[in-house]
Amino acid sequence: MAAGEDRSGPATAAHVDVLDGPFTTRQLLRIDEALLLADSTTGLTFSVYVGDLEEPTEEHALRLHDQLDNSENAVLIAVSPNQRVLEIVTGEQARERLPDKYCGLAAMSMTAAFAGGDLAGGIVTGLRMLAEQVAGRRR
Amino acid sequence: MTVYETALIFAGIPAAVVAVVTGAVYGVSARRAKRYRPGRPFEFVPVWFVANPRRTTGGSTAAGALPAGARKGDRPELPTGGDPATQERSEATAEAGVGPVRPRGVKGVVHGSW
Repeated sequence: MAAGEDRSGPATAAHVDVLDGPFTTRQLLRIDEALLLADSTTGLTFSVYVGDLEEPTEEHALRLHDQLDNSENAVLIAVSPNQRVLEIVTGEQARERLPDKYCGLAAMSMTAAFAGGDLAGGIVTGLRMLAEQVAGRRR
Repeated sequence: MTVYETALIFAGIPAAVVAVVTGAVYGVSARRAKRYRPGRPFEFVPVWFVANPRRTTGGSTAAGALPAGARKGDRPELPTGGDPATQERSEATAEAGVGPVRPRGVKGVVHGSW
């Protein structure tokens, strides 16, 4: 597994340009896995943005969501660690399967993890909760 | 005991112990400094993850331009490198009228803060 290799030899100097973000390789793999799983089990397009959002943050998150192709079926999780703000945007179709109430629940557990400094853990938890919600309702 | 030996025992050994403890406490966190801590500034490049970049409009070309595969063992469909160019483009298109024209209240927006 790549995560194990990278752990045995840090090689940070060679990877610094690619791994310049706040996440380790293992965390990136976990997020990747959660995204792929969420997409494949629900048929929706999940995406995660981590970075500063312009004020008003809600408008910026909506603009980012508009950029996604097939945005009516897309779910965007926008996290701004500097502003300590999280926005979950659901497209028109996605919202029918993923009501705001459940997004709010996911947001609560995500912000709890973020408050503890666990960005990757919060993102993975949120993705799992949202995907399970959609998959559970389909059954 | 000479003065030199006295200094070595009563100053050198405590200094060495302090150095070891300091290294044990701060050495690990210094190596793993690249993480988010609430309340501290977050100075990383914005990143945008999409499971399948072919589904994105703005990200499809950008994902190809990113150094995909530079990280060993990673799947190329994870565009980890945030590029400010994409953001600027998105903001430009939004300012060009894409954002305000869209009717409000159709998409769901859930806000959270910590």
